[in-house]
Amino acid sequence: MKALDALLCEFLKLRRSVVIRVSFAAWAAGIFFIAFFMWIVMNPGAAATFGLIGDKASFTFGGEGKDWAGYLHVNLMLGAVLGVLFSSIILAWIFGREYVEGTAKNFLALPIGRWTFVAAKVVVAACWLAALLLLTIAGTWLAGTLLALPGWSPALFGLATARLLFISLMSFFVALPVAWIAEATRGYFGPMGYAIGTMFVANFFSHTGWAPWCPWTIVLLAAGPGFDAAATSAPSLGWGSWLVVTATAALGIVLAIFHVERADNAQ
Amino acid sequence: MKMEAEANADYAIETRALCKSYGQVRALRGIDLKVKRREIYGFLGRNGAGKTTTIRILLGLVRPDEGEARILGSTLKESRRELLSQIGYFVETATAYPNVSVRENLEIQRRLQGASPASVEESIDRLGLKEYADRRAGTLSLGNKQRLSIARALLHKPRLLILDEPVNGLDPAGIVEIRELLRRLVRDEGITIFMSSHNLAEVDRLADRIGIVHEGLLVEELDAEELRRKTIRSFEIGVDDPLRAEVILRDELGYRIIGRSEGGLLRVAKEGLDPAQAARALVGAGIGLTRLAAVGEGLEDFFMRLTGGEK
Repeated sequence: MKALDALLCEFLKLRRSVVIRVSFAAWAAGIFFIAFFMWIVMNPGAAATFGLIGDKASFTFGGEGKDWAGYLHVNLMLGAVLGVLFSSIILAWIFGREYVEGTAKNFLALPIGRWTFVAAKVVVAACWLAALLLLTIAGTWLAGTLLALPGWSPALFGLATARLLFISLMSFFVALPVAWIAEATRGYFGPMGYAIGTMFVANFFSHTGWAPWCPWTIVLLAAGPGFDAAATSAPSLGWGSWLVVTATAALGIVLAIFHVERADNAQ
Repeated sequence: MKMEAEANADYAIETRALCKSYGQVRALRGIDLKVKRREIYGFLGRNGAGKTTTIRILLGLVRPDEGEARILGSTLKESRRELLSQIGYFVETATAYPNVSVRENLEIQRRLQGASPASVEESIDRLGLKEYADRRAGTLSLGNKQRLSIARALLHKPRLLILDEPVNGLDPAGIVEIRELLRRLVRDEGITIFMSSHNLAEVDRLADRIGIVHEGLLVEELDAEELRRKTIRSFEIGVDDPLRAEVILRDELGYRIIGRSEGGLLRVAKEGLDPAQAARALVGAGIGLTRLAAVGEGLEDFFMRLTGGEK
């Protein structure tokens, strides 16, 4: 019952939050620009009149088909790159704001298990990301339909959606250490450093043979090959990669709980 | 067994040799506090003296390196949830979730404390927050944030209130209002209040007992009567014949005269002075006594003297 109350309270804390609205606006803008680039690529004459934007669009869609398969795969790749970043930002805000706004000391002395707050915050972050995911799926479908892209099939869209779900879950998992970093550094800067740092690390390891063992690169691998290749229901990741991602998530949660339970909270 | 222990406990707060260091900084060097039930205890100290660290230890936000804190008869280790459900608190600064309203902030606290749904409106009324109830907490003045923090602390009808600077940011009318509220809580509801403050005048008016912490040590702990006695520096004796009175006080009774002023007022050092004896001797000698009063230094001067201030 207390755990449910803690969860309800976490949702209540989000009311009228500007950050929520900004996150949805930013995500919607991302969906729009991918669709806009697709439109430019489909209309080379228009691309020329758009100058740099046209070049950017061609670069984004370079090597991809001007159809549903290409459009969905670009969405997946960007989702893999931005998923970790967005997950990190959301977790950083949910955990870090308690320290920035000075409210952590209020809830840490409540007659309720402190782990409950960590669990509730993780669930709220997951729900937030799930809502963004729904926006992505709906927005991508709507934009693709409005662009009248060729090659639509329910099976293809279902496959892309399944991969997107899979990537989102992995992104969230590898971002979970942010919860602990936000607590330990009492704010947003530590988590932001983590988010930016992991992007560099992911990029670095993607060029090495260690890619399947680096948690943040595994997410990129999970985006899988393009749909014109031998698309399967999920990219084949080895058990080691699964283990790494799961261990990263578990470590993040355990450290976050350990911190609120054991560390001095001399905020 | 636990109940029995609680019933036998005379103190709402009792700490034994609390020590805490942050790296090289020794914040507490063995604090022994005793806060009686149903009293207002003023916890005084300069910045960095160890007040907030003590409060954090009492609330389980920080672990002591050594020593123990018993609250309402037991330790947080023994019964954390049970104890915390009986404590209302706010630490250091008044804080709230800025994007949600006053009412919603209290609703969050109510749910987590397990208080009754009616308690939110009761607290709003009690702290005079009705006209701000639907306003975002982030838009409140410091004084109203302070009220919100006190409302939150009182929401679940605690038996012990731990307040860090409770009147900080309040206007004079608000200070009087909060002072009266705290007095009522002790008188009518039997709550114990442990409050730290820099506002010495406020502590002087409100506290039944005072503890002064300095450099991590409790250097003085005394009640209002002891404080009055300790802060007396001299006596003023007004007479209609100061020359004869001075002779009697100095030569016959052996008191030390430390000052004279016009109008027959003599200032006598407090050491060895028995006011009743002095009055009897003067009246017995046919000298008219117009005034006999203790001259104190005030809590502020006493505090500064104890903590090595300039004053």
